[in-house]
Order: sequence, then structure tokens, then C-alpha cells
Amino acid sequence: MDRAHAIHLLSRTSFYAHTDRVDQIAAMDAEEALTELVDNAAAPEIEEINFRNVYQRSEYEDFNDMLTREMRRLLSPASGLRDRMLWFWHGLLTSAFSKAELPALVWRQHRLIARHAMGNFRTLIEEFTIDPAILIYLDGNYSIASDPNENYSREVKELFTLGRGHYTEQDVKNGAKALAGWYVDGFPEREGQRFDPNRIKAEFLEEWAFKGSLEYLGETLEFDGSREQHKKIIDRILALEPKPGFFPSAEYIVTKLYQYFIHPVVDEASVARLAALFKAEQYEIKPVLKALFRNRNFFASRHSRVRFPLENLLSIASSLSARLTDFDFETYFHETGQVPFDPPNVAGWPVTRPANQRWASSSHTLSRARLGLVAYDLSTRNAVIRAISQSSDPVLETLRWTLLTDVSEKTMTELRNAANRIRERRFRARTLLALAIASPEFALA
Amino acid sequence: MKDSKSKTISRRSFIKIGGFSVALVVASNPLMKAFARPDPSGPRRLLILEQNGGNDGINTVIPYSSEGYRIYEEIRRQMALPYGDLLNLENGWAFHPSLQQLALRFKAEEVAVIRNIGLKDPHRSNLSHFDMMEKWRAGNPNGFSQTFGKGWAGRIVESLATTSPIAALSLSTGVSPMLLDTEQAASATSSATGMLDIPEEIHDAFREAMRRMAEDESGLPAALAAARRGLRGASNLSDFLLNVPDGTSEESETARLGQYAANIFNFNDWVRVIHLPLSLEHDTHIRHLPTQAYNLSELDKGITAFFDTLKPEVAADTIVATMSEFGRRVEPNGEGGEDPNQMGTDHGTANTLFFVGRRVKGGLYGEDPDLKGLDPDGNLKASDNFMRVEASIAAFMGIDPEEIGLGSETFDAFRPST
Repeated sequence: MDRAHAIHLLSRTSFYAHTDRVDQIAAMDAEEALTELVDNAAAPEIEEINFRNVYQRSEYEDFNDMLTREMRRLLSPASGLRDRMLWFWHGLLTSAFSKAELPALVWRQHRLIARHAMGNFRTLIEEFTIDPAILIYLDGNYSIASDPNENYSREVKELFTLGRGHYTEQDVKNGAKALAGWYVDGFPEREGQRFDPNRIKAEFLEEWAFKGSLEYLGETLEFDGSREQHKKIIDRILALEPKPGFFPSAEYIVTKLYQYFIHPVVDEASVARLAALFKAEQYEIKPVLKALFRNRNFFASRHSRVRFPLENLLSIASSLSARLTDFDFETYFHETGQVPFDPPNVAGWPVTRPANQRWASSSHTLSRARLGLVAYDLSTRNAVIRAISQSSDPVLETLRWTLLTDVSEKTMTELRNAANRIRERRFRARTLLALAIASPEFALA
Repeated sequence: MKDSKSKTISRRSFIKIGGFSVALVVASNPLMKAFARPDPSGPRRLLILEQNGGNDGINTVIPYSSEGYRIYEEIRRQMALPYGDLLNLENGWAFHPSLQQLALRFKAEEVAVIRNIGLKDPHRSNLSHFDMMEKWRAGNPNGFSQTFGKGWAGRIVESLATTSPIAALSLSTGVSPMLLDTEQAASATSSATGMLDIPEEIHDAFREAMRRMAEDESGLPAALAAARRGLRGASNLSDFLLNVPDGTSEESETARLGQYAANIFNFNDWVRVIHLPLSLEHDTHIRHLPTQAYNLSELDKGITAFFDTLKPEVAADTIVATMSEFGRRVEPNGEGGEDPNQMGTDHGTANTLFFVGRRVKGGLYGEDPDLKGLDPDGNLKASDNFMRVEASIAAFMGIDPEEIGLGSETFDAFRPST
């Protein structure tokens, strides 16, 4: 594989963006790379954290600890496609820390998604539906069948599985009944009381649950009030086939995958083929991923979407071997509106074209330029600064380390101008890095 | 030079809105100046306060007549606000108790209350946040696919034909879709966002390189064009916002942002439209009463701080408009049992909005919401389309709403300049 292809494959499938990894991939052919990337990927290992009592410090301190832990994990050389998939799901199957409140519950949900990130979508959405954090976030918590809360019933169809247009308001109401009966147990009785967040769990009360038959997505379903009955709802959603061979749930998920991994504007024929494969493989995720990376549009889509803030930060930190502490990443996440584990609303971080272009707004550009100035301040002992300083062509060396291929003439001219203007080698290297990161091309995946 | 894409689209494209064929003028149209009416007063300005998630209009402006309140109390049950707490407008209606300053402004005839706004066609209306947001932001009942990806506020800004590099600003983590693909639209989260602390030894060269790398060219792929536009906005913004003071309120975040918006308008005549999405939880499926009381007190403080900070000559031609993608369900959901503070309400339809400012003709607009005549899902039936609100704002800004695809129906809610 040539270097440009290897850069594209790496930058779309990993947060880890070191030039050495590019060289490893470039040494493989495309099929070898796919085997390495997809087949050999295990579920991400997310360690268990013992949240003895979340209020041992403040919940925000505990949250920031959690965030730091996750950023370190994503920056390790072991980080790869599995972590990409984990964060793909976080952008789609949302729960916000600001409403779920307990770091312990957010972390537990993180581990749940990680277990299935490259596994089976049916299993993932079934377990997700009764996860404590989502029960709180979308108000399934204490929803009672006689007068249920519609929030999760609507969003599971609109945002997590089907998309609009495939269900009625009556389906929303009936789904809400069938999904009722759950609550999250283990919270303290009064404020300030010590409690063990590890013991908080989702509980089901049969007397709050629905018993009887309901019309749902065009079929009559029977419910006996059991704690497994959410699975009937998921089954029906995934089986929905308004036209022969057309499964809206399969199309919905592969559309999101296509927009995330290939191009924000989808190719309808590709999506239809991928959806058929997803359904045929019974919602197994790996076969679809392989097909995505073999799609003829994959390598043609270099620089077709704007990188989101998390990608920018991780790409800069890993490609320059910088330390996480070099960046004020909490401020960066807040000012860009992409705080991991805390999406702005239930739509998460959408991957449609309008949502994608928003990441190129002026405020995001300033945030990225500021990350470039962090690179400017890197120690002169940094290996990348040294390599660029010592190179006979510091501009090309800068582009090599920042994984920038095919930059526009304008960007190239500005880098060359800067290189010619500055005599001192290390000062020149630092300036080139900052400019490369501020360049429009760096904003693109 | 503008986005290359718009050049390939004909200057006037005819689109369908609600069965009528209307002309949509696409950006960068050199004829655009012709549509801007001569502006006898100062530049008109607009602050849009977005209540994302769906503010409950039914508990924002409440029937105050004994019969009206009886029906309201019967249907809202424990979620009905106590009669004695309401702020009487002396016209058969009352404000939520949190809207104290706004009620005073209403008495000064500077508040237009626009009622029962949504989509009249029940087949086009729906209860999805994101679909309804898209319709509102596109200014079209079918969304962005019918507006060449342009938002309603962006079409106003482009029609203003100002030479300002930043004519519209989202005070948010990104440019709002209502300003999507608009060359002169930028985003900022605070004046700190405007600051790029470039070390002195590279400052001038770095800024110059940023400016040059950002230059537009025709035929760029969409993502690169967007990235270059972002860099252009970033360059313009750093120079501008460095000089605009932040808001100072420590009591209320919305008040602080209201002050900041006013400081931006006061500074010079560059920015004509500010979009401020309120960072509040309006989607009250649970704990509706305490959450909305807080939200509306923030709104009240934000509007007050904004007008208190504006210079009088700027305030003379500036309005605030509130927006929300839909209202809430008329009846509460079963959340929280009988505990009024735990009760919630699901997604609804028609909603109540405000125009505020000295150029506003105070009073009630639109039809009374009919709490008895609900649709089959238990929701209000809208009596006016949301485009009528946007068309009214366009007209206030001096733009013919029909020419930018917002239709010809407006509310006569503004006075001529004084």
C-alpha cells in the first residue's frame, strides 16, 4: 500500500496517528491490513474502576479522572479500530453525564458499549436499553405502563435504530408502555448519605410493567410483564421490513457507519449493499466494517469530511508524542462542544454533512490553532522537533510527522515562506508545526 | 468571493412552500442589494434566543379569565401554575411568575406575544426535536433539502448585502444551521475564543500565513471550502472580539451572555444577527415545574441584561426574538405520580414565542391556543406556520420575506423607527 493510502486508512480507523504506524501499514497490502485491523481487533479493555463513593471528592473531579484515564488509553499505541467503534457508538447511543450524574454509571455504560463495540448490534442495543445511565438519561427510570414516559420509546426509534418515517405516534405511545417497569435502585435515601455506587442497578417491577397485547410497528405483540420484554420491542424494530428486502434498521446503522468512515454524503447503492450484508450477517458489525474499507469510495474520500475536536486533539498529541498534560484538554473539549461522555443533546455528535461542516466553524478553527501553539511550545528535546530541525527539507518533514499529504498550493506556499524566513532551525521547526496544524487541510480527515 | 457551489445554481430557483411557488434567492446574488429596502434609521439588529428542547408555551403564557383558567387547570392538573402566582397582563392572559421583568416590558408595550405557532398541516408537523429544528432553521416545512442547504437567518444576512466580514455570530460551539454555509457567519463562545495568544516573535507572520491559507478559491471540495471559511472567520474574529468586553454577570449565565451580545452590538455595526442558544434543559419529560421556572427566570434575566447593556441608540433598532422547535404535550405524562415537582410532559406542537424591543408593537398576536380542540395525539393545533414568525423578522430587518423563501404572511408587530 502506498503511504497516502496508509495515512488515510490509519486516520479514519484509529485515533493514534504516529508516523511509525503509517510505515507499518504501508508495508502491508490492503487485505493484510484489513485482517490486522478488523479480524485481529478484540473488544477494548476498559478497566473496572472502584467508585467506592462518588462523593469522596466531587463528582466533577471523579468525572475528570475518568476522562483523563480514557484519553490516556486512546493515546496509547494499542489504540485502534475498536476504540474508534467505541466512540462511534458514543456519538450515536448517547447518555450525558450532566443528566446521568454519577460517573460510576457513565463508566459502567462505557464498559457495556466497549464489550459490544465490534460485536453484535442486537445484543448491544438490547443491553443498552436497560442500562442504568440510559434509564436515567431518557427517563425510563420510574416509567409506569399505565401512564408511561415517551422519551426513550421515541428516541430508540428515531435516533438509535430506525430514523424518522418508519413509525407512528401510536408506536411511540405503545412502545413506551411495553418498555415501562424499570427503575434505578441503590441511590441514597437522603442527600449527603454515603452509598456504594458500584451497587446501583436497574431493577424491574412486574406490577409497573405492561401485560396484554399491543399494536407495534404493524404487528400485534403479546406482553406478559416479564423483565425480558424490551427484547420483543428490539426484535420487532430490527425485523421491520416495510418493503421486501428493505430493513430500515440495517440501513440506518450502515448509513451512520458510511458517514463516519467514508463520506458525509452517502452513496445510496453502497448503503443498500452494506445494509443487506448487515442483515444477512444478523447484525454482526465486523463484516460490515470490512466491506466499508473495501468500498470503492473509501480511498477516494481523503479530506472529504471535517475532523471532530476529539480527533484533532488525539491526532496532534499522538503524532507529536506530546504528553496529555501539555494540553488543557478539558477547556478544549468544553469550548468545542465535544466533551466525551457528555454530548450536547440526545442526537449525540451527528455525522451528517451539516453537522460535520459545523466542526469547521471559526470557533473550532481558533481552538485548533491554539492546539498548534501548544505544539509550538513543545520542548526542543521532543523527537519530532529534533527531526524537523535536522531535516534538509523541514517542510516535507513537518508534513510527514503531521500525516498531511496533498496539501493545497496555498498551504504549501505559506509553509515554504515560513521555512525560508526563519533561520534558527528549532524555532523554524516549531513554527512549521504550529502552521501545519492551523492549516485548513489539518482540519480534514 | 463566495462559495463556488452557489455560482452553479441559477440565481432564482423556484421552490414549493405549502403549495405556493415562491422564489428563493440564492446567496451571492448580485441582485440582492435591490431587495434590501432603503434603511432610513440605523442598522437593524436581531438577537435570537433559542430554547432548544421545546419550551412549554402553555405554562409560559397562561389563560387568566376565570373560564380560561378553569379549562387550563382541569387539563394540566397538578402541573397547572397557581392562579395567585401568575403575572396578570390585563388582557385575559398572564405570564409565568418567572417572567417578572418581561411582564413590565409588556406593560410598556414592548413585547409581542406570538401564540399558537407551529405547522398548520398535521402531515408536515411531527414530534421529533431534530426534524422540527431542521424545519425551523431551514425556514421551510421540508427542511434544508428545499433551501440549497441555506438557513433562514443566513438568507437574511446575505440579503443585507453588508460588507462586514462578520455579519452574523453564533454565541455557541459552532455556527448554527440557521446560518449554515453563510460566508459572513462565525461562531464564538466568549471573547476568550477570539484570543489567539500567538508568541510575539511569530505573531505577525503567523497571522499573515493564517489569512493567506484561508483565501477562497473556486472549485474547492466542500469540506476544504468549509475549513478555509472557518479559518477566514477565525482571522476576522480574533481581531474583532479581542476588543469586545465579556459580560460580567456572576449571578446568571444567560444574563452574562446577554450582556456580551449587547457589547458586540454596541462595539460597531459589523454584527447584525446574533444567535444565542440557551444552555438550559427545556426537554422536560420529568421535573417540569422547577426546571421551567428556572429556565424562564434565566430567559427573563438574559433579556433584561441585554437591553440594560445596549446603548440607547442601538436599542432603538434592535429586537430580541425567542424560538423553540415545539411546545409540550397539553396533559402531563405519568412521571412522578402525584408529586407536582416530579411531573413531566412529553413533546408537543404549537408554541408561544416573543418579540421584544422598542420597535415592537406590544400585544398578543396569533390565535388563542385551544386547550379543548386537540389533535388525536393530545396536542394543540397550530394556527400559524413558523415561517410567519421568520418572515416577520425578515421584514423587520428590511428584507422582503417572499424573496428569501419565507412566504408573504407576516405579523404586523413592529413600529416604524422613532
